[in-house]
Amino acid sequence: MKIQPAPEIHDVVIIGSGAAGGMAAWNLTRQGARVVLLDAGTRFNSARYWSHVRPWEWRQREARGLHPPEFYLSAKEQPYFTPPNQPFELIRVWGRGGKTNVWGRVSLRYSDLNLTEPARDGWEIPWPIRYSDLAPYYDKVEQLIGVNGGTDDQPWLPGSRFHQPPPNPRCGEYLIRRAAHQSGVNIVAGRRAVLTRQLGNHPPCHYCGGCGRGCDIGAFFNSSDYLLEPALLTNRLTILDNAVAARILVDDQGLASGVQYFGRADKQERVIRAKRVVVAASCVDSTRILLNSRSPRYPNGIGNSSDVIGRYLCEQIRFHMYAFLPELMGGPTHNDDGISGEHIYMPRFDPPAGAKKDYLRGYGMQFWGFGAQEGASFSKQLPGFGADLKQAIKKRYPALVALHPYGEVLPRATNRITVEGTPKDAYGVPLARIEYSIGDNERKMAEAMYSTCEEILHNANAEILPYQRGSLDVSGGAIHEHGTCRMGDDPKRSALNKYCQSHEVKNLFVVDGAAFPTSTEKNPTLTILANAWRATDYMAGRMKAGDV
Amino acid sequence: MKTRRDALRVLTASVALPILPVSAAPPAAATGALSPEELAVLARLSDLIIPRTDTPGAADAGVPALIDAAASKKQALASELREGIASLGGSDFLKLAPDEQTAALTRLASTPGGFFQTLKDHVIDAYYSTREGLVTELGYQGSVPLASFPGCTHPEHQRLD
Ligand SMILES: Cc1cc2nc3c(=O)[nH]c(=O)nc-3n(C[C@H](O)[C@H](O)[C@H](O)COP(=O)(O)OP(=O)(O)OC[C@H]3O[C@@H](n4cnc5c(N)ncnc54)[C@H](O)[C@@H]3O)c2cc1C
Ligand code: SF4
Repeated sequence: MKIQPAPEIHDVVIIGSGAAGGMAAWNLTRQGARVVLLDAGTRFNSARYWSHVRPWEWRQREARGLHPPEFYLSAKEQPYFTPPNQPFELIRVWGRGGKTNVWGRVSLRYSDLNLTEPARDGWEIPWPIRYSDLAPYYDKVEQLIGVNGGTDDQPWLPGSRFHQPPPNPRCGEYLIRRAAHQSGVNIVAGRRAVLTRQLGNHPPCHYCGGCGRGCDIGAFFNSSDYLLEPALLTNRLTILDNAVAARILVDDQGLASGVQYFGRADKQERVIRAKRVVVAASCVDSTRILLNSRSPRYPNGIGNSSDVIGRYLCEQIRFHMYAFLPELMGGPTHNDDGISGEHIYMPRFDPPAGAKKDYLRGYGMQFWGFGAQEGASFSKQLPGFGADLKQAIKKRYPALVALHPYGEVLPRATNRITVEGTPKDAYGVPLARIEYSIGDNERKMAEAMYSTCEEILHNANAEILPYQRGSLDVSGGAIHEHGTCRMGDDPKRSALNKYCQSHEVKNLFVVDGAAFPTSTEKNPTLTILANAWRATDYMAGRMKAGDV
Repeated sequence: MKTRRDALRVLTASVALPILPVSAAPPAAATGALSPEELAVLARLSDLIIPRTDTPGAADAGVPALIDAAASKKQALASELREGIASLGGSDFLKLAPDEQTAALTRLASTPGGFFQTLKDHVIDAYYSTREGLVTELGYQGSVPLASFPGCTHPEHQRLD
């Protein structure tokens, strides 16, 4: 008989390498922990990005048989299921850095008002942390990754003295700011994780507008270049690529003891042992892993005696309005690329005190797509054809503005991810089913969102492209999933404590957006980074003390 | 109650990337879906939608071939184009005087959606993804590295009141 060597037991295994997993790996290794990170994909090769390829060159390249990097995970490889008439668009990137390779880089601090709102309006559980818990981490994250923006403090949007200078606004952005101002709506410098100044060995942005295709010079934060690479330099990080985590294993004491995973290429099952497990596979994938981690001890999924894991999925409602500004129509075309996407932001806007507000929570607004774009698809909505149409398009091309409000969706127990009775993936692991719908609160909020957009555009005397009042993007489109493994002080109503540590399984941490009790109206990644740093600081402290 | 199978639906996540016009995807070299006769009509229709003015028109910019390539990858589009072209009289459309052609297209445009909109959508996506459409016609200057980004330089735009 061959004697098997005892398997190595690592200090920590982390699942996922996006914003959350990258931060956990960086922070834990720098504090001395030996970490193994499982990532479902591989490193994207930025030297091969098509950052600067223009549409006609794109075609020429494809005709030569070349392909741009494929960031997005195909739902053919990893399907998920939704009930009829309840579509949910789940957008995933598997690979080192996850969705941060292509994210929109909007980096907003949550305000204390966001975090205390559930306690004020009584809808579901409050956040167990306050702004003062996050603020020092926001400061540190902004310095680490480079966020440009204003120093201005808004009630719903804290400023920061660590922001790099924001890029100059475009013509349309100034004009929309003025139009909003007329209605008492405040528009401020955006806050975005794009370098306007050199940061360490990361060069500043050169304003090519190619971010959506990946930045070939790494001038915006992505977890792979900014967190994993420095962590690898410590020699305490091992990354296992193409390692698709399936289940968290438990020992006799009910503690997490490792992870079962499958090779994405060879489909072989493997096990890795560790003293602590950090889950950071992005909200939906993390939740699926937790729910699939069933054992006699945890028949409902690891750490899920409370039955809250999988529930309270919350995202944001969103729509888009497009219009043309009279001041810019027929004017010269400028290079409007900038840092790609908006240079401004509308912090959450509530009706003034005393005015009607018939919904809970609120909405903010983004403004990507101003001015000269790499196409003119708006023209399909202009009437007619011929020389008149061609003229009408040219006249409007420099004058395009686009309003994209994001509204908070309330957490509800019935909006949930489950894995019971679903088909299995290629490795035999049950896939996720997502049941998600919005309610009256969101429909009322959408009315207010439409009214605000209309008012701003009317103030601007803008020509608005046809739209259908009340229509919303397919759920999931905001790509800000939260809530399905939430933190809270009450173990009956939450899965994690305020340090993202499982109430039940003390060596298990979940550090991505799944831990957030509410979705807020904001983009979450800056807060995911700050919170993962905070949680892993706590974890490192407990490790040193010998409690986990 | 009858046992009912959970009607599950696989969702193919289609990521709507604003970068790439639909017609820009297929390689121009792909074998086309349309016959030479149909392609000739498509060329004329494309030019009726985006004609040559002091800048190139749709046909100058190679739009018909781009649409044909798209149709060779998408059966539904190919059928719609074929049927639409046939409904306009096929090759006979080319024998009409220009104002008769315009009148025919105006009639077609009066039906919302349908073939006219399909045609227009594809001509627009294709034309404004070519150098002729995007750069020569619209003056696009982007997708190049710059040392700095000037942004708006007009004080009259920057006022708050
Ligand atoms: C187009 C786009 C625009 C966006 N714009 C913004 C924005 O402007 N601002 C903002 O704040 N956010 C934005 N987001 C969202 C942002 O990208 C996410 O909030 C952020 O990346 C979440 O970090 P994460 O670590 O939770 O997940 P991800 O970044 O998705 O990382 C998940 C990681 O887990 C790995 N993984 C998944 N499943 C498994 C498994 N079974 N086993 C092993 N590994 C696994 C993946 O490979 C990946 O490394 C945008 C996203 C997209 C796609
Ligand atoms: S605009 Fe800046 S951040 Fe975006 S791809 Fe270009 S250089 Fe990179």
